[in-house]
Amino acid sequence: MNWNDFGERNKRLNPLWSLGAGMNLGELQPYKEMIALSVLLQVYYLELESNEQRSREDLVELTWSSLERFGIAKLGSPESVERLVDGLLWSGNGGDFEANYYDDHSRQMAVQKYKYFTVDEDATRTSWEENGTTIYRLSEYAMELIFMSHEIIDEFQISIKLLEIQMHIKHGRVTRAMQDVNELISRVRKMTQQQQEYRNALRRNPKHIFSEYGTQRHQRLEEIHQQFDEERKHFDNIHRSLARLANDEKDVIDFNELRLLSERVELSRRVHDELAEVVLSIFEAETNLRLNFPELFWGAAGFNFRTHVWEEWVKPEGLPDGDSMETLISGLFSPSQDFIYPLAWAWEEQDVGFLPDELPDDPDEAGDEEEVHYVPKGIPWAGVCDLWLPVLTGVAEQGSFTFSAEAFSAEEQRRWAETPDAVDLWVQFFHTEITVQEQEAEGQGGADECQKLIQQLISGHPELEVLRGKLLRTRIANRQQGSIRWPGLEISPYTITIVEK
Amino acid sequence: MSYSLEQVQQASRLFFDLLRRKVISLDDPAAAECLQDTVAYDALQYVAKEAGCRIMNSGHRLHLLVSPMGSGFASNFTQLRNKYSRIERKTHLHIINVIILVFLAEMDQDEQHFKPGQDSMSYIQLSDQVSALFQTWMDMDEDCSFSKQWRLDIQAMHKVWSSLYMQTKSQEEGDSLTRGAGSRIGLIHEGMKLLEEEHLVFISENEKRIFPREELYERMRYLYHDVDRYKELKALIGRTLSEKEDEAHAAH
Repeated sequence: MNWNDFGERNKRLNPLWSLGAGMNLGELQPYKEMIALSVLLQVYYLELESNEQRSREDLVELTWSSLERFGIAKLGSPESVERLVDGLLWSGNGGDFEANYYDDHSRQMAVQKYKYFTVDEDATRTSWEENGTTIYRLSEYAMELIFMSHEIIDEFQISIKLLEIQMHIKHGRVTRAMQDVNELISRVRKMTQQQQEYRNALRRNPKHIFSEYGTQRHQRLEEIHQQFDEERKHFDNIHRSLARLANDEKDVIDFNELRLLSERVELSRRVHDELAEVVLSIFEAETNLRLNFPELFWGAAGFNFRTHVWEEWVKPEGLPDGDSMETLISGLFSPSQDFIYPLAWAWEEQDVGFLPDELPDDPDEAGDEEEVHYVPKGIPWAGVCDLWLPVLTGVAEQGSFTFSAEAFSAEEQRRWAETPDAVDLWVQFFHTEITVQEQEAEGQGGADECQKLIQQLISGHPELEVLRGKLLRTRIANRQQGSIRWPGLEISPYTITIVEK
Repeated sequence: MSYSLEQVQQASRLFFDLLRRKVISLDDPAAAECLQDTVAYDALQYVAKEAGCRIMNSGHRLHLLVSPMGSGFASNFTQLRNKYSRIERKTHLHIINVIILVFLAEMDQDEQHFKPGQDSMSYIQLSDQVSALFQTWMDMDEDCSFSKQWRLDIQAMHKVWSSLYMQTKSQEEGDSLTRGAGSRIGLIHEGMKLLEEEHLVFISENEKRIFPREELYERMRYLYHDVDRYKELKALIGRTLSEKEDEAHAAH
């Protein structure tokens, strides 16, 4: 464990632990922390609005209004309310509050002193002149408590935070502004994560649009845009205030600190833009789902496996027998079949009049073609090459070649019929467009049969070199013509052509 | 509705592509082409139906699934059944099915909640839940609330399950997950491997945890969140027991 920051954490929590402690408020006793927090929060918002009604009397008023709000006003008495306000302003002995913490650096206990309210000097200067009242503002420690309780709230308002930062900068509180900007950055990141979580949930189940969380988000797109625009304005203002500060307070303020601060502001703008992006992308996804897949939202909302299949059916009622469970589960599975593409299908068109289904070529799986077709091991390349030589020669010379009875001598016809491997290759050519490799392939490992065939032919017949780099496409020419038949073979009139790029 | 040759071609091409790949993302060109043409997509549904399959569009992916009514196709699931087809091992298969059902029930819960269910489950958790479930069923069984056959099957499952150790010796020593009917973990692994081979879950071997994938939610949504399909399933599995009892009364 890292003990270094233990003291710091301890110091952060001390003001929380002692908030409202040690007061005796009679009937308000059980509610004192709540009331104290409500007073701090109200002052916080007054400060944001640059409202200076923050004297002790005002705090008393604020306390009463809290009691009204919580419906416990009749438990309060003027004495107990005053007591509470005093107890927030000063500790029992009228000075700072004190608490112990362990300082890891000096290896000993130390005393921390803090207050919840400090005198707002700017405001008090004028009010003393006018009516002699003191105006208070929240101390760093009280601010810390407010932020801590923010932390717990999901609905964190970016614009409010930005206002705060602006305020700090205006007053030249660079350190404070820095802390706030850092806090803003981590908050916004957290929000981005939440949004991403929602996006994932939406992918798992679009009906989350109607979940509690989803409906909260259903602002109109314009509103979302407007909000982001507003926040952009805040950022611009902050930058402006920074520039002013750098100008006006040159002597007072460490320029390096300002530079760091403005860098952090820039970073916070960036993470903020990321958030905007995610929110908008979710909006897009939701719209897309609603428009294009309304059926995903049909049916009873809230239908789910656990409740309807499990809790209300199988668990209490059982099933007819153990085998019925299979019916329940089997629908989750895809059919699996060692799928062999039968050559017969490529010929079937002749009998039933439709074309073979071609498997679309899939760039990712260029090497998989062999798995799809059953190609017997050990192709008698010599014989196959002999048969294919006239084909590719035709392609090289005329740009295309059509398989027809006339193209071959009787002897060749007989050999075609005897060499199914050579015929198979037509089907393979038919399946994908083939670009003839530019280079002599090194090792025949990855290439498919078509490539192998072409490579072998080219290496034996230099006149075929012209084919290198050409794209070959195979079609079935002239559908009306029907298939080519001769003894032992029936095949479509395939045509190989060079595709001009 | 009449289909042009081209549409039939398109549909069957996509069908066989699905048969090979099982799941195709919607932005895959192979799927996009067919989806744009409603008639071709319609034809695809028919081709699938005749093959005893269903096409499911989750909004992100197309899945090809076997229909619970039975299909001409084998699936990973039927292959498992063949493995445990011998009568004396039938009970093991039933237990594996129970394990899968328990897992599904954990994964897919209340839709109102932001999180649909647990985000993952350990083998130990699953095993505990299965034990508890058998216990519940055995207790319920005392007042004979189950049908005769189901009762017998439960008793057999409970007997086998309670006689099994959590792990076999070799699993323990190798700290590994292995399939098989020799231990509870082995049976759980059988069921979970089945889902993993189907690309529905991810099994983290060293944590011995199962994490559901998006595809699992998509399929469960399709299969169990739809009122009509739910009724269909119920009808398929046979009328509920209360109806059976009514019949028994009527017969008397």
